[in-house]
Amino acid sequence: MRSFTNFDEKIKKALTQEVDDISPSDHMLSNIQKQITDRKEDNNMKIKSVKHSKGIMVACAILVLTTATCFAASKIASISGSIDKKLDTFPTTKQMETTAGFTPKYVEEFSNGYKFEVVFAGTLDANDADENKVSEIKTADFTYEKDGAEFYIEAMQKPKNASIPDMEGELVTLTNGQNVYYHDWMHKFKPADYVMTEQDKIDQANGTYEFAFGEDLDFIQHCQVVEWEENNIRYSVFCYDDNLTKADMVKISEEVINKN
Amino acid sequence: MENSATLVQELQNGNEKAFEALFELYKVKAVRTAYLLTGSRILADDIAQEAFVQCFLKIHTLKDPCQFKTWFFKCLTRIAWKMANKEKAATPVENIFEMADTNECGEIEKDFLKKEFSADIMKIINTLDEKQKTTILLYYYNEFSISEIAAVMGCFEGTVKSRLHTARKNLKKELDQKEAYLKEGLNNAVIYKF
Repeated sequence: MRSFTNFDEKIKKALTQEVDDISPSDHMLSNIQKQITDRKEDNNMKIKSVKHSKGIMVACAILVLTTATCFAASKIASISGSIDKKLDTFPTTKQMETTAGFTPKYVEEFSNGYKFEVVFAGTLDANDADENKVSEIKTADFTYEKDGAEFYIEAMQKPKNASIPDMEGELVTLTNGQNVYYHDWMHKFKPADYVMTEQDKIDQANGTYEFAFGEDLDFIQHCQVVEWEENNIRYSVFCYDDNLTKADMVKISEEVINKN
Repeated sequence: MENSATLVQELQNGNEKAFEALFELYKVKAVRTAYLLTGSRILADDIAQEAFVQCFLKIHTLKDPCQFKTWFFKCLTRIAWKMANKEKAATPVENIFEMADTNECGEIEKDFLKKEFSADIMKIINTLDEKQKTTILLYYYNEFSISEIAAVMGCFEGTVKSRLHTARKNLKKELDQKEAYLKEGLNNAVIYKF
Protein backbone atom coordinates (compact mmCIF):
# COMPACT_ATOMS: atom_id res chain seq x y z
CA MET A 1 0.00 0.00 0.00
CA ARG A 2 1.37 3.40 -0.92
CA SER A 3 2.14 5.66 2.03
CA PHE A 4 0.95 9.20 1.52
CA THR A 5 2.10 12.33 3.20
CA ASN A 6 -0.49 14.44 4.98
CA PHE A 7 -0.73 16.57 1.87
CA ASP A 8 -1.27 13.57 -0.34
CA GLU A 9 -3.90 12.26 2.05
CA LYS A 10 -5.89 15.44 1.71
CA ILE A 11 -5.96 15.10 -2.05
CA LYS A 12 -6.96 11.48 -1.85
CA LYS A 13 -9.64 12.27 0.69
CA ALA A 14 -11.05 15.07 -1.43
CA LEU A 15 -11.24 12.80 -4.47
CA THR A 16 -12.79 9.96 -2.51
CA GLN A 17 -15.38 12.25 -0.94
CA GLU A 18 -16.21 13.70 -4.33
CA VAL A 19 -17.33 10.32 -5.63
CA ASP A 20 -18.56 8.80 -2.41
CA ASP A 21 -22.18 8.76 -3.54
CA ILE A 22 -21.50 7.92 -7.18
CA SER A 23 -22.55 4.39 -8.08
CA PRO A 24 -23.16 2.61 -11.36
CA SER A 25 -26.80 2.57 -12.40
CA ASP A 26 -28.72 -0.66 -11.84
CA HIS A 27 -29.23 -1.10 -15.57
CA MET A 28 -25.65 -0.51 -16.60
CA LEU A 29 -24.78 -4.15 -17.30
CA SER A 30 -27.92 -4.76 -19.34
CA ASN A 31 -27.29 -1.52 -21.28
CA ILE A 32 -23.76 -2.67 -22.01
CA GLN A 33 -24.92 -6.11 -23.13
CA LYS A 34 -27.47 -4.55 -25.46
CA GLN A 35 -24.86 -2.26 -26.97
CA ILE A 36 -22.53 -5.21 -27.48
CA THR A 37 -25.27 -7.10 -29.29
CA ASP A 38 -26.06 -4.07 -31.45
CA ARG A 39 -22.40 -3.48 -32.30
CA LYS A 40 -21.89 -7.13 -33.19
CA GLU A 41 -24.83 -6.91 -35.57
CA ASP A 42 -23.42 -3.70 -37.04
CA ASN A 43 -20.03 -5.33 -37.47
CA ASN A 44 -21.65 -8.33 -39.11
CA MET A 45 -23.47 -5.99 -41.44
CA LYS A 46 -20.22 -4.20 -42.23
CA ILE A 47 -18.52 -7.49 -42.92
CA LYS A 48 -21.50 -8.60 -44.94
CA SER A 49 -21.38 -5.43 -46.94
CA VAL A 50 -17.66 -5.83 -47.38
CA LYS A 51 -18.17 -9.44 -48.38
CA HIS A 52 -21.15 -8.55 -50.45
CA SER A 53 -19.13 -6.15 -52.44
CA LYS A 54 -16.05 -8.30 -52.06
CA GLY A 55 -16.94 -10.01 -55.29
CA ILE A 56 -16.67 -6.63 -56.93
CA MET A 57 -13.62 -5.69 -54.89
CA VAL A 58 -11.89 -8.93 -55.74
CA ALA A 59 -12.95 -8.78 -59.35
CA CYS A 60 -11.86 -5.17 -59.58
CA ALA A 61 -8.61 -5.96 -57.84
CA ILE A 62 -7.99 -8.71 -60.34
CA LEU A 63 -8.83 -6.34 -63.16
CA VAL A 64 -6.56 -3.64 -61.82
CA LEU A 65 -3.71 -5.93 -60.83
CA THR A 66 -3.56 -7.60 -64.19
CA THR A 67 -4.11 -4.45 -66.23
CA ALA A 68 -0.59 -4.25 -67.50
CA THR A 69 -0.54 -7.68 -69.09
CA CYS A 70 -4.08 -8.35 -70.13
CA PHE A 71 -5.67 -5.34 -71.69
CA ALA A 72 -5.55 -5.17 -75.43
CA ALA A 73 -7.57 -2.22 -76.64
CA SER A 74 -7.13 0.08 -73.65
CA LYS A 75 -5.00 0.09 -70.58
CA ILE A 76 -7.37 0.13 -67.62
CA ALA A 77 -5.62 1.54 -64.57
CA SER A 78 -8.52 1.80 -62.15
CA ILE A 79 -12.16 1.06 -61.55
CA SER A 80 -14.50 3.60 -60.00
CA GLY A 81 -18.18 3.83 -59.16
CA SER A 82 -20.47 1.96 -56.85
CA ILE A 83 -22.90 -0.89 -56.94
CA ASP A 84 -25.76 0.78 -55.18
CA LYS A 85 -29.03 -0.15 -56.86
CA LYS A 86 -30.71 -2.73 -54.72
CA LEU A 87 -33.52 -5.19 -55.20
CA ASP A 88 -34.44 -7.30 -52.20
CA THR A 89 -37.26 -9.20 -53.76
CA PHE A 90 -36.52 -11.68 -56.50
CA PRO A 91 -36.55 -9.53 -59.67
CA THR A 92 -38.39 -10.15 -62.86
CA THR A 93 -36.42 -10.07 -66.06
CA LYS A 94 -37.75 -6.61 -66.78
CA GLN A 95 -36.75 -5.34 -63.34
CA MET A 96 -33.30 -6.78 -63.82
CA GLU A 97 -32.91 -5.10 -67.18
CA THR A 98 -34.07 -1.78 -65.78
CA THR A 99 -31.88 -1.97 -62.69
CA ALA A 100 -28.70 -3.53 -64.01
CA GLY A 101 -28.88 -2.53 -67.66
CA PHE A 102 -28.47 -6.14 -68.74
CA THR A 103 -30.08 -9.50 -68.02
CA PRO A 104 -27.83 -12.24 -66.70
CA LYS A 105 -29.06 -15.69 -65.80
CA TYR A 106 -30.09 -15.95 -62.15
CA VAL A 107 -31.85 -18.44 -59.90
CA GLU A 108 -34.35 -17.89 -57.10
CA GLU A 109 -33.52 -21.02 -55.10
CA PHE A 110 -30.84 -23.65 -55.49
CA SER A 111 -31.25 -27.37 -54.90
CA ASN A 112 -28.97 -27.08 -51.84
CA GLY A 113 -31.55 -24.84 -50.14
CA TYR A 114 -29.83 -21.47 -50.58
CA LYS A 115 -32.37 -18.79 -51.53
CA PHE A 116 -32.15 -15.40 -53.14
CA GLU A 117 -31.71 -12.64 -50.57
CA VAL A 118 -30.77 -9.46 -52.43
CA VAL A 119 -29.16 -8.21 -55.61
CA PHE A 120 -27.05 -5.07 -55.97
CA ALA A 121 -26.48 -3.69 -59.43
CA GLY A 122 -24.63 -0.82 -60.96
CA THR A 123 -22.22 0.37 -63.58
CA LEU A 124 -18.54 0.79 -62.87
CA ASP A 125 -16.28 3.07 -64.89
CA ALA A 126 -13.05 1.58 -66.12
CA ASN A 127 -10.44 4.35 -66.28
CA ASP A 128 -7.04 4.74 -67.83
CA ALA A 129 -3.97 6.03 -66.02
CA ASP A 130 -5.09 9.63 -66.58
CA GLU A 131 -8.45 8.81 -65.00
CA ASN A 132 -10.19 9.04 -68.35
CA LYS A 133 -13.08 6.66 -68.63
CA VAL A 134 -12.37 4.10 -71.33
CA SER A 135 -15.20 1.69 -70.76
CA GLU A 136 -18.11 0.72 -68.57
CA ILE A 137 -18.63 -2.48 -66.70
CA LYS A 138 -22.22 -3.39 -65.85
CA THR A 139 -22.48 -5.74 -62.93
CA ALA A 140 -25.11 -7.49 -60.80
CA ASP A 141 -24.13 -8.98 -57.46
CA PHE A 142 -26.50 -11.62 -56.04
CA THR A 143 -26.55 -12.81 -52.43
CA TYR A 144 -27.94 -16.22 -51.52
CA GLU A 145 -28.63 -17.28 -47.97
CA LYS A 146 -29.38 -20.41 -45.95
CA ASP A 147 -29.45 -20.64 -42.15
CA GLY A 148 -27.34 -17.52 -41.85
CA ALA A 149 -24.67 -18.68 -44.29
CA GLU A 150 -24.20 -16.86 -47.58
CA PHE A 151 -22.56 -17.05 -50.95
CA TYR A 152 -22.51 -14.57 -53.81
CA ILE A 153 -22.84 -14.67 -57.58
CA GLU A 154 -21.43 -11.81 -59.57
CA ALA A 155 -22.52 -11.35 -63.12
CA MET A 156 -20.34 -8.88 -65.04
CA GLN A 157 -21.08 -7.77 -68.58
CA LYS A 158 -17.73 -7.74 -70.31
CA PRO A 159 -16.63 -4.20 -71.18
CA LYS A 160 -16.43 -2.85 -74.69
CA ASN A 161 -13.12 -1.55 -75.95
CA ALA A 162 -11.27 -3.34 -73.20
CA SER A 163 -10.66 -6.89 -72.15
CA ILE A 164 -10.76 -8.42 -68.71
CA PRO A 165 -8.28 -10.98 -67.39
CA ASP A 166 -8.59 -14.56 -68.45
CA MET A 167 -10.21 -16.93 -66.03
CA GLU A 168 -7.71 -18.94 -64.06
CA GLY A 169 -7.56 -21.93 -61.78
CA GLU A 170 -8.51 -25.55 -62.06
CA LEU A 171 -10.57 -26.43 -65.12
CA VAL A 172 -13.71 -28.40 -64.26
CA THR A 173 -15.92 -29.84 -66.98
CA LEU A 174 -19.62 -30.03 -66.16
CA THR A 175 -21.95 -32.85 -67.18
CA ASN A 176 -23.24 -30.73 -70.06
CA GLY A 177 -19.72 -30.21 -71.37
CA GLN A 178 -19.43 -26.59 -70.21
CA ASN A 179 -16.12 -25.66 -68.63
CA VAL A 180 -15.83 -23.69 -65.40
CA TYR A 181 -12.74 -22.61 -63.51
CA TYR A 182 -12.20 -23.06 -59.76
CA HIS A 183 -9.58 -21.37 -57.67
CA ASP A 184 -9.11 -20.38 -54.07
CA TRP A 185 -6.79 -18.17 -52.03
CA MET A 186 -6.28 -16.71 -48.58
CA HIS A 187 -7.32 -13.07 -48.21
CA LYS A 188 -6.06 -10.90 -45.35
CA PHE A 189 -8.31 -8.00 -44.40
CA LYS A 190 -6.58 -5.31 -42.39
CA PRO A 191 -7.53 -1.88 -40.95
CA ALA A 192 -7.29 1.09 -43.25
CA ASP A 193 -4.21 2.43 -41.47
CA TYR A 194 -2.40 -0.92 -41.34
CA VAL A 195 1.22 -0.83 -42.47
CA MET A 196 2.29 -3.98 -44.27
CA THR A 197 5.21 -5.81 -42.68
CA GLU A 198 8.10 -7.26 -44.67
CA GLN A 199 6.55 -10.70 -44.23
CA ASP A 200 3.25 -9.35 -45.57
CA LYS A 201 5.02 -8.11 -48.68
CA ILE A 202 6.69 -11.47 -49.17
CA ASP A 203 3.37 -13.25 -48.68
CA GLN A 204 1.69 -10.97 -51.20
CA ALA A 205 4.45 -11.40 -53.75
CA ASN A 206 4.44 -15.19 -53.57
CA GLY A 207 0.65 -15.42 -53.54
CA THR A 208 0.26 -16.73 -49.99
CA TYR A 209 -2.15 -13.90 -49.20
CA GLU A 210 -4.09 -11.28 -51.06
CA PHE A 211 -4.61 -8.08 -49.04
CA ALA A 212 -7.51 -5.71 -48.62
CA PHE A 213 -7.80 -2.73 -46.27
CA GLY A 214 -10.80 -1.11 -44.65
CA GLU A 215 -12.14 0.33 -41.44
CA ASP A 216 -12.48 -2.16 -38.59
CA LEU A 217 -11.24 -5.06 -40.70
CA ASP A 218 -8.81 -7.49 -39.19
CA PHE A 219 -9.30 -11.08 -40.25
CA ILE A 220 -8.11 -13.74 -42.64
CA GLN A 221 -10.47 -15.51 -44.93
CA HIS A 222 -10.39 -18.44 -47.25
CA CYS A 223 -11.90 -17.29 -50.57
CA GLN A 224 -13.18 -19.60 -53.27
CA VAL A 225 -14.48 -18.73 -56.72
CA VAL A 226 -15.95 -20.64 -59.64
CA GLU A 227 -16.08 -18.74 -62.95
CA TRP A 228 -17.42 -19.19 -66.46
CA GLU A 229 -18.56 -17.05 -69.35
CA GLU A 230 -21.71 -17.11 -71.39
CA ASN A 231 -23.18 -14.60 -73.86
CA ASN A 232 -20.54 -11.98 -73.09
CA ILE A 233 -21.17 -12.18 -69.35
CA ARG A 234 -18.55 -13.30 -66.83
CA TYR A 235 -20.16 -15.19 -63.94
CA SER A 236 -18.33 -15.71 -60.63
CA VAL A 237 -19.63 -17.69 -57.66
CA PHE A 238 -17.87 -16.49 -54.50
CA CYS A 239 -17.75 -18.22 -51.11
CA TYR A 240 -15.90 -16.72 -48.14
CA ASP A 241 -16.85 -18.74 -45.10
CA ASP A 242 -16.14 -22.28 -46.24
CA ASN A 243 -19.85 -22.99 -46.02
CA LEU A 244 -19.57 -24.50 -49.50
CA THR A 245 -17.15 -27.06 -50.90
CA LYS A 246 -15.70 -26.94 -54.38
CA ALA A 247 -18.24 -29.55 -55.43
CA ASP A 248 -21.09 -27.45 -54.01
CA MET A 249 -19.91 -24.41 -55.93
CA VAL A 250 -19.55 -26.34 -59.16
CA LYS A 251 -23.13 -27.66 -58.72
CA ILE A 252 -24.35 -24.09 -58.20
CA SER A 253 -22.67 -22.97 -61.42
CA GLU A 254 -24.33 -25.86 -63.23
CA GLU A 255 -27.78 -24.83 -62.01
CA VAL A 256 -27.24 -21.24 -63.19
CA ILE A 257 -25.96 -22.41 -66.58
CA ASN A 258 -28.95 -24.72 -66.99
CA LYS A 259 -31.43 -21.98 -66.08
CA ASN A 260 -33.74 -21.19 -68.97
CA MET B 1 -8.95 -6.77 -9.15
CA GLU B 2 -6.07 -9.20 -8.69
CA ASN B 3 -7.84 -12.14 -10.38
CA SER B 4 -8.83 -10.18 -13.44
CA ALA B 5 -6.09 -11.87 -15.51
CA THR B 6 -7.85 -15.22 -15.14
CA LEU B 7 -11.19 -13.69 -16.05
CA VAL B 8 -9.66 -12.00 -19.08
CA GLN B 9 -8.27 -15.31 -20.29
CA GLU B 10 -11.67 -16.94 -19.83
CA LEU B 11 -13.35 -14.14 -21.73
CA GLN B 12 -10.81 -14.42 -24.53
CA ASN B 13 -11.67 -18.11 -24.67
CA GLY B 14 -15.32 -17.23 -25.17
CA ASN B 15 -16.71 -17.40 -21.63
CA GLU B 16 -19.04 -14.41 -21.55
CA LYS B 17 -19.79 -14.94 -17.86
CA ALA B 18 -16.23 -13.84 -17.22
CA PHE B 19 -17.16 -10.46 -18.67
CA GLU B 20 -19.92 -10.04 -16.10
CA ALA B 21 -17.41 -10.83 -13.37
CA LEU B 22 -14.96 -8.27 -14.78
CA PHE B 23 -17.76 -5.74 -14.91
CA GLU B 24 -18.54 -6.32 -11.24
CA LEU B 25 -14.87 -5.89 -10.34
CA TYR B 26 -14.38 -2.64 -12.21
CA LYS B 27 -17.74 -0.95 -12.47
CA VAL B 28 -17.54 1.30 -9.43
CA LYS B 29 -14.01 2.52 -10.10
CA ALA B 30 -14.87 2.97 -13.77
CA VAL B 31 -17.89 5.19 -13.14
CA ARG B 32 -16.18 7.16 -10.39
CA THR B 33 -13.02 7.72 -12.42
CA ALA B 34 -15.13 8.84 -15.37
CA TYR B 35 -16.98 11.25 -13.09
CA LEU B 36 -13.75 12.69 -11.72
CA LEU B 37 -12.42 13.16 -15.23
CA THR B 38 -15.49 14.94 -16.56
CA GLY B 39 -17.42 16.27 -13.59
CA SER B 40 -20.61 15.01 -15.21
CA ARG B 41 -22.73 12.25 -13.69
CA ILE B 42 -24.48 11.57 -16.96
CA LEU B 43 -21.29 11.42 -18.96
CA ALA B 44 -19.73 9.16 -16.33
CA ASP B 45 -22.28 6.43 -16.99
CA ASP B 46 -21.94 6.82 -20.77
CA ILE B 47 -18.17 6.71 -20.57
CA ALA B 48 -18.06 3.66 -18.32
CA GLN B 49 -20.58 1.84 -20.51
CA GLU B 50 -18.64 2.61 -23.68
CA ALA B 51 -15.40 1.49 -22.03
CA PHE B 52 -16.93 -1.86 -21.09
CA VAL B 53 -18.44 -2.32 -24.55
CA GLN B 54 -15.09 -1.65 -26.20
CA CYS B 55 -13.41 -3.90 -23.64
CA PHE B 56 -15.66 -6.79 -24.63
CA LEU B 57 -15.37 -6.26 -28.37
CA LYS B 58 -11.61 -5.79 -28.37
CA ILE B 59 -10.56 -8.16 -25.60
CA HIS B 60 -8.86 -10.39 -28.15
CA THR B 61 -6.37 -7.58 -28.85
CA LEU B 62 -5.05 -7.63 -25.26
CA LYS B 63 -1.89 -9.71 -25.47
CA ASP B 64 -1.09 -9.89 -21.75
CA PRO B 65 -4.16 -10.47 -19.53
CA CYS B 66 -2.16 -9.22 -16.53
CA GLN B 67 -2.23 -5.75 -18.10
CA PHE B 68 -6.01 -5.59 -18.17
CA LYS B 69 -6.29 -2.86 -15.55
CA THR B 70 -4.07 -0.36 -17.40
CA TRP B 71 -5.55 -1.41 -20.74
CA PHE B 72 -9.08 -0.85 -19.53
CA PHE B 73 -8.37 2.51 -17.92
CA LYS B 74 -6.44 3.62 -20.97
CA CYS B 75 -9.57 2.97 -22.97
CA LEU B 76 -11.73 4.70 -20.39
CA THR B 77 -9.59 7.85 -20.18
CA ARG B 78 -9.51 8.16 -23.97
CA ILE B 79 -13.28 7.94 -24.11
CA ALA B 80 -13.60 10.42 -21.24
CA TRP B 81 -11.33 12.96 -22.92
CA LYS B 82 -13.22 12.65 -26.16
CA MET B 83 -16.66 12.93 -24.59
CA ALA B 84 -15.67 15.72 -22.22
CA ASN B 85 -14.23 17.78 -25.04
CA LYS B 86 -17.33 17.16 -27.05
CA GLU B 87 -19.78 18.02 -24.30
CA LYS B 88 -17.66 20.67 -22.54
CA ALA B 89 -19.24 19.51 -19.33
CA ALA B 90 -19.31 22.03 -16.50
CA THR B 91 -17.87 21.03 -13.16
CA PRO B 92 -20.78 20.45 -10.80
CA VAL B 93 -20.76 22.51 -7.65
CA GLU B 94 -22.01 20.49 -4.72
CA ASN B 95 -24.57 22.12 -2.55
CA ILE B 96 -22.55 22.07 0.62
CA PHE B 97 -25.46 23.18 2.74
CA GLU B 98 -27.26 19.91 1.89
CA MET B 99 -24.36 17.91 3.22
CA ALA B 100 -24.60 19.34 6.73
CA ASP B 101 -26.42 16.86 8.94
CA THR B 102 -26.14 18.10 12.51
CA ASN B 103 -28.23 20.57 14.41
CA GLU B 104 -25.33 22.08 16.22
CA CYS B 105 -24.66 25.51 14.77
CA GLY B 106 -20.93 25.26 15.29
CA GLU B 107 -20.75 21.67 14.02
CA ILE B 108 -22.63 22.64 10.88
CA GLU B 109 -20.22 25.43 10.27
CA LYS B 110 -17.17 23.25 11.01
CA ASP B 111 -18.48 20.51 8.78
CA PHE B 112 -19.26 23.05 6.12
CA LEU B 113 -15.77 24.46 6.21
CA LYS B 114 -14.14 21.01 6.08
CA LYS B 115 -16.27 19.92 3.16
CA GLU B 116 -15.76 23.19 1.44
CA PHE B 117 -12.06 22.51 1.81
CA SER B 118 -12.41 19.23 -0.07
CA ALA B 119 -14.63 20.96 -2.59
CA ASP B 120 -11.94 23.59 -3.04
CA ILE B 121 -9.39 20.88 -3.73
CA MET B 122 -11.70 19.53 -6.39
CA LYS B 123 -12.12 22.97 -7.88
CA ILE B 124 -8.36 23.35 -8.07
CA ILE B 125 -7.97 19.89 -9.61
CA ASN B 126 -10.59 20.79 -12.18
CA THR B 127 -8.60 23.83 -13.25
CA LEU B 128 -5.61 21.66 -14.17
CA ASP B 129 -5.11 20.80 -17.80
CA GLU B 130 -6.52 17.50 -18.99
CA LYS B 131 -3.27 15.57 -18.76
CA GLN B 132 -2.27 16.87 -15.33
CA LYS B 133 -5.73 16.29 -13.98
CA THR B 134 -5.79 12.72 -15.30
CA THR B 135 -2.37 12.11 -13.77
CA ILE B 136 -3.57 13.35 -10.39
CA LEU B 137 -6.72 11.25 -10.51
CA LEU B 138 -4.93 8.08 -11.55
CA TYR B 139 -2.24 8.60 -8.92
CA TYR B 140 -4.34 9.57 -5.94
CA TYR B 141 -7.75 8.09 -6.55
CA ASN B 142 -6.91 4.99 -8.57
CA GLU B 143 -3.53 4.59 -6.82
CA PHE B 144 -1.78 3.63 -10.04
CA SER B 145 2.00 3.46 -10.07
CA ILE B 146 4.01 5.84 -12.25
CA SER B 147 4.60 3.08 -14.79
CA GLU B 148 0.90 2.19 -14.83
CA ILE B 149 -0.04 5.82 -15.37
CA ALA B 150 2.48 6.01 -18.21
CA ALA B 151 0.86 2.95 -19.79
CA VAL B 152 -2.63 4.39 -19.41
CA MET B 153 -1.72 7.79 -20.79
CA GLY B 154 0.62 6.55 -23.46
CA CYS B 155 3.61 8.62 -22.36
CA PHE B 156 7.01 8.18 -20.73
CA GLU B 157 7.38 7.72 -16.99
CA GLY B 158 9.41 10.92 -16.88
CA THR B 159 6.47 12.79 -18.35
CA VAL B 160 4.18 11.37 -15.70
CA LYS B 161 6.57 12.43 -12.95
CA SER B 162 6.84 15.90 -14.42
CA ARG B 163 3.08 16.32 -14.66
CA LEU B 164 2.60 14.96 -11.16
CA HIS B 165 5.23 17.29 -9.76
CA THR B 166 3.74 20.37 -11.45
CA ALA B 167 0.20 19.47 -10.48
CA ARG B 168 1.16 18.81 -6.85
CA LYS B 169 3.04 22.08 -6.71
CA ASN B 170 0.01 24.00 -7.96
CA LEU B 171 -2.32 22.12 -5.65
CA LYS B 172 -0.10 22.63 -2.62
CA LYS B 173 0.14 26.34 -3.22
CA GLU B 174 -3.63 26.66 -3.42
CA LEU B 175 -4.17 24.26 -0.54
CA ASP B 176 -1.87 26.19 1.78
CA GLN B 177 -3.86 29.32 1.11
CA LYS B 178 -7.16 27.53 1.68
CA GLU B 179 -5.90 25.82 4.81
CA ALA B 180 -4.98 29.16 6.30
CA TYR B 181 -8.51 30.33 5.53
CA LEU B 182 -9.96 27.17 7.05
CA LYS B 183 -8.08 27.67 10.29
CA GLU B 184 -9.36 31.17 10.49
CA GLY B 185 -12.87 29.92 9.84
CA LEU B 186 -12.65 27.22 12.54
CA ASN B 187 -11.41 29.74 15.03
CA ASN B 188 -14.39 31.89 14.23
CA ALA B 189 -16.67 28.85 14.69
CA VAL B 190 -15.29 28.35 18.18
CA ILE B 191 -15.94 31.98 19.01
CA TYR B 192 -19.53 31.78 17.80
CA LYS B 193 -20.48 28.39 19.32
CA PHE B 194 -23.08 28.58 22.08
